[in-house]
Amino acid sequence: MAYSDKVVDHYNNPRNVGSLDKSDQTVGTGIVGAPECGDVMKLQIKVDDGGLIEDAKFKTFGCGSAIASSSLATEWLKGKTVDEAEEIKNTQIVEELNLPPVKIHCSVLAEDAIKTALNDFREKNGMPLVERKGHH
Amino acid sequence: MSEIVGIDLGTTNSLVASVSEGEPAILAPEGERGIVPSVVSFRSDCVLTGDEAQDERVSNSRNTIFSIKRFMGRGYEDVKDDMRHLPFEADPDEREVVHVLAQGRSYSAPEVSALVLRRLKSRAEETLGRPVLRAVVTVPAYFNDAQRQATKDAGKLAGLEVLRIINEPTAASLAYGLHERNRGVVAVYDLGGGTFDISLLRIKDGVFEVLSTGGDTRLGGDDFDQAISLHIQKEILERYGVDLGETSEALAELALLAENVKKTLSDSDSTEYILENPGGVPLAHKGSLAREEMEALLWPIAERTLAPCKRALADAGLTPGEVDEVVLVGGSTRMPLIRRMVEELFEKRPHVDLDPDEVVALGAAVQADILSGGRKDMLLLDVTPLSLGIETMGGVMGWIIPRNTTIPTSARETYTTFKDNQTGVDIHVLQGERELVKDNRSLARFRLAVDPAPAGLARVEVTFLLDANGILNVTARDLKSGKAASVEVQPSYGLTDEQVERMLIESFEHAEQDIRSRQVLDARTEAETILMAAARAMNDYGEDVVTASERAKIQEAVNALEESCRGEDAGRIRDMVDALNEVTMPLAERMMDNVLKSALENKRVSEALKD
Amino acid sequence: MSEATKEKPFSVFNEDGEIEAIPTEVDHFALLGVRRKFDLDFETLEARFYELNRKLHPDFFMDAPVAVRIRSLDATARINDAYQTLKDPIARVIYLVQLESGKLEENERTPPPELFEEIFEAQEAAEEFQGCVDEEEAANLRERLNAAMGCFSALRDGQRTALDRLGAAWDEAMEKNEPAPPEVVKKMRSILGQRNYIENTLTSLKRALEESE
Repeated sequence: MAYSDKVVDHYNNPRNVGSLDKSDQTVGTGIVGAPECGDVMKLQIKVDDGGLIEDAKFKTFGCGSAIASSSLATEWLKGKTVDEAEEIKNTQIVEELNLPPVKIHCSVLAEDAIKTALNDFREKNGMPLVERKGHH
Repeated sequence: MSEIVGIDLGTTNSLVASVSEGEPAILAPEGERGIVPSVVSFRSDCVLTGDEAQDERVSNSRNTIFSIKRFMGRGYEDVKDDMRHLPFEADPDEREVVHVLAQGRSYSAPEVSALVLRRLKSRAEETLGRPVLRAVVTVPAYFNDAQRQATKDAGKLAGLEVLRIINEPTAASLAYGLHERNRGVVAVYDLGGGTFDISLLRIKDGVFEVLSTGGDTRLGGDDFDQAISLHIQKEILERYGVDLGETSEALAELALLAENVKKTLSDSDSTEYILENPGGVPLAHKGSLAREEMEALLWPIAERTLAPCKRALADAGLTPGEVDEVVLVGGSTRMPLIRRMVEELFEKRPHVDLDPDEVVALGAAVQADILSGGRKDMLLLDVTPLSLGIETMGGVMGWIIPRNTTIPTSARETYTTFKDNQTGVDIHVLQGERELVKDNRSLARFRLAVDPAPAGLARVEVTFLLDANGILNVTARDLKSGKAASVEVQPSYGLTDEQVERMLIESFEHAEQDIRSRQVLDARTEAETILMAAARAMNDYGEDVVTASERAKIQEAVNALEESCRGEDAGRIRDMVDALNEVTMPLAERMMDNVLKSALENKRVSEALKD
Repeated sequence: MSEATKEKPFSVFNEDGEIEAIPTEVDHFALLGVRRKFDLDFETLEARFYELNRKLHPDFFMDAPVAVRIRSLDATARINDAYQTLKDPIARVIYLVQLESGKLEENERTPPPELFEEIFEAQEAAEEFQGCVDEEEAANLRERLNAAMGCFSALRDGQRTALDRLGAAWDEAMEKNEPAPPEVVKKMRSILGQRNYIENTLTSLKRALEESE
């Protein structure tokens, strides 16, 4: 199986590991977990004055696929607007990381974390929340 | 039906046994010992096996192959370090399957093992006075899929159908539990020539249920010999400035000497040894070793068996105190050091009533008796020693069957596509306990064929089945159309079908009888494949796909083929295979969606592995 | 779930005594012929498991037609899977709860914030401890890890007791052919939904403490 080096790297050297200040008005935090395997994930975004996500951090305690999923998610978030970020789907992560069925829930977790973080930011800033839909 | 025998194909020694009148017995011609050394000596004029080959270990050291079991199911890279200490060489041009070089020719590990098996087969035939075509062969419990498959290949090359692969410690428990079928929880500690196994079983009402197993496929008596040999080499280097490690003949002599020293020190407190011009190196050396010294030397190796024991206990959810009995198996358990260690660990004195060299073969014979229908009051429920997983992105394992799951067992995974008109999904299957793929054993890779469709629409269910031999079978089915998807599996470490065929043809002068029995065997294998596919198809599809009249025709052909397989006429079996092909093939071609055709192509992995 | 599947044990054999293919919808309880309950007698389960294996195991069908051998193989694999699940109390609870009230994955993915805060704290402390070189700091961290260990172990024990109690209530309803009380279902699902978080945290803590020894 030929994987791009860039993607393999998300496993070996996860990007953007860390935390942002949760109480900061410009920071949105999403904390989620996967009850079926017990993986937990915290994903945070920082939005600049122009409405672009300038920074994203994560902390994941779980398997390699969950770490890679969140690492990839933070990379994708940077530079997007809040609404653009809403469009990131778990299936894109599955495709990019070529996750097999047993690990698909890791990508779902990452998508949930993004959506929760975005809503947290919206709530802090008096913006209308986006309702979460079911996923596969 | 011909006799089914039980074979213990050991690293150092092999034995064959069978049950007569309910009792298992080692088979050996009048006046010969039961043990056949697992040694093959290639001479320019002939090939020797067993005791005769053992005698050549020094005089023909480069062409005398021993401990070949350590190389079964392995690749060149896995073994090249081990080979440095051995007097013979591996073929560097054969990467996937270890080949050894002898008399300028290259032999795969299964080929060498097959020579030992042929010797056992003919001694069984001689003793029983009947042809022997089927066998139960034991392997270390901790053997992976590739090692099991290699053992099956060796059987085929020797003209034996390996009906069942069973684990050595479990086999031993069958021999132990033959007359007392309620023994509670039994721990079998099996330290052989090259491998170590620990198994925990519950024996209740004749059911032998393995609770957990653990081990190390590269740890055994050989390592003790090696340590003693290195000790003597060091002694000689220090005293005479001569490195015996550079001479193949000297290494061969030292290996034998070390083994003798070890054996002697199992009964005496100290021993002396003499080396005179070892391998032609001009020196005379007299040395001595006390048991205490040796034990200090060997302790680091012996100690490596403790961690697998503790893990097996934890996996079974047991404390050492909950183990009712401990059984010792394998020649290395004769060492007082090992007995003390085991006694301390399990807090009880181990059993040694049965000869540790014979007990595995006797147990294999009991299992053979069960399979032949001779014994219905005993049943063995074994487990898979290693977890089965698939590669996830970036080389992380995604486990689907955990270790110590009772076999047969299966797991299902549903795959989908992420690109429009994607035609395949790549799947890499592995065995092992480590988080990273590279630390586990690659079993096979295959590409799952998917019908072109928009992304995410395809749903293909893949079933991974570990059979009663612990060997993997993969089948796939498209959940949307209901049809079988084709699975073509590439083995990571194993012989292809063509390779096995070539080896069969190239193998040495076989008797007329041998050729005939092998032809029967091959025909049966072929029959098995098509029968399996036909049965699956009949099982899986309803009236809409296969009409009642077609069904009847196929059933008729199936019955005829099965009937012919019970006979010994290879020609007739092949005719019946053709007949079955004939009634199923037009069907397969006619149908738009290739339902039956894909099913027919969808062979068992054990077969497909070799394609 | 209909009464028929609930109570009538499934038979792997047809009227002629031949092995049948087992439909996918047959559940573990029906397959092994035991009542669908949380409280299950291990001896009975084991006896059923052995009995079925004695009838179905591939060892006894070596010379049977291929179709029979395939059914024997598939049936044994199913029975092994069922036994493996039902003999382990936790696996059994998870299986039964999902059978009666749907997959746990459908649970809410945003768990109680207090629990998560504690999990992150414990996990981060474990991570820090593993990379810690300063002796004094390591001693401090070790103390924190041990405290967390005690806290999470107590949590786990409490959950086990609660599961037993809730399971008994559920069993009682099932005995009377009544649906399980919704609050019991909800509580059980919530406990099971948190179980893996607690187990994983305990594993991390244990590993961190062991590796330092």
